[in-house]
Amino acid sequence: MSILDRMRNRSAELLVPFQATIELTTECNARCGHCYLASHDDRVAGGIPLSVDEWKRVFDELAAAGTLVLIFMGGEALLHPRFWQLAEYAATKNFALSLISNGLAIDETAAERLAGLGFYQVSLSLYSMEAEIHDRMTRRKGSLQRAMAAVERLRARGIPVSVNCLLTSANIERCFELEDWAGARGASVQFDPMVTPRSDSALDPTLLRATPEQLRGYYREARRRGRAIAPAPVAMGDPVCNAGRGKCAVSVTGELLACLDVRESLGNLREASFEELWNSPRAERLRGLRNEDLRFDPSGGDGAFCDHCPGMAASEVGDPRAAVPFLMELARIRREVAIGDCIFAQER
Amino acid sequence: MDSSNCGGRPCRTPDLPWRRIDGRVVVIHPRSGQVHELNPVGAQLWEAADGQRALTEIAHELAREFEVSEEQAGRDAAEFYAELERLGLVRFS
Repeated sequence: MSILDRMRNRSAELLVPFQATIELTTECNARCGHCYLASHDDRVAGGIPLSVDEWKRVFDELAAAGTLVLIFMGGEALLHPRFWQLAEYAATKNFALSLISNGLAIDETAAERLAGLGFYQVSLSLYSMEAEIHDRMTRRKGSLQRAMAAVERLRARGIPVSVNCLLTSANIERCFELEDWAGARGASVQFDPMVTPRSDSALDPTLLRATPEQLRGYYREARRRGRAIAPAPVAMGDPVCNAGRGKCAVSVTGELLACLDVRESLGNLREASFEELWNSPRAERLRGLRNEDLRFDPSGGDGAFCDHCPGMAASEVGDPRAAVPFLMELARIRREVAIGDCIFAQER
Repeated sequence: MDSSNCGGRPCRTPDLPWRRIDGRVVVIHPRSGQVHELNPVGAQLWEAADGQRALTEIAHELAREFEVSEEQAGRDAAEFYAELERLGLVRFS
């Protein structure tokens, strides 16, 4: 386990928000059909966006609470008109700065500024090595070419790059070509088949999920390439996830969230301090969910392979404790591939 | 140990990401990507490296707190800071 992972785990035990995701703006220069955001207009995001001074106060409070990793995301965070001012301020607070971006706005100048500010990681969304597939998913012609150029620019300046690849039925079959390309440039790739509902709980993006047969093929190849597909065993008394324990998120309008996927607000940071909201009874309730509370057994059978997400469960089945059919399907396939098709066939 | 630094003031490299968590310090060097963890004594020396205090002052506090000789504390602190300087985490003013 890396030092950061160990610190992350210890922070979660101590309820220190080690990692904070900053949803700086909902504005975006792509229009991905799978995006979790219900709107790309900050004016209709359910309130007034935080001002620069308000964001600075939030950063001050997060630093005081022990946040080390500060992740800027959106929408497209680089489209925020005061992004650089805010990033410069955050850099003075000794955060480990990270950016999640589609890469479209990372030209030579932006790459240079990110390097100058000491960004320790940039995660870029790439969906395929085929422009037809990637550009169709982002609904922006030429977006693959620009995202690939962004990877090259960042790597040329020594910034660690991670490629985020959400897996849908459109891109899953040749996704490992991306791993080969990124690996040759010293970038890691995170594949993620968990297409989530939108922030307003609309299920439209979930229609884009990969099929069971596609997922089976993906996990077989992942296993062949040495990727771990079996999760670590869980203890029934442990928390279900890190949301509201070692991590948090702040929305464009200042809502403090336990995690971006858990949209129930802990309160607004315009109206109360981080410390008040983080230590409130509501936060205590949200972070109180334990494996033993789940409505399925996460310690055995398919359940042991399920990466349960309370936020997804609340959106999709109306109960954070209930099994999400798609996640259980993923778990079944992962278990089948991990154990071996022959053995599993006999069991069935 | 770099004896030329004994009268110097160790100073954390500005803007480096770091936090104290559960008595330990985790510090990241963004350029190298290296992550370092300092034990509680190292964490104390890290926080003392504010560019205001001379190494001799820091060693004096260390000797008093841990009941070791000032000479020993000075040697240990100088060695620690020299290693951090080599890693680009601290510089002497």
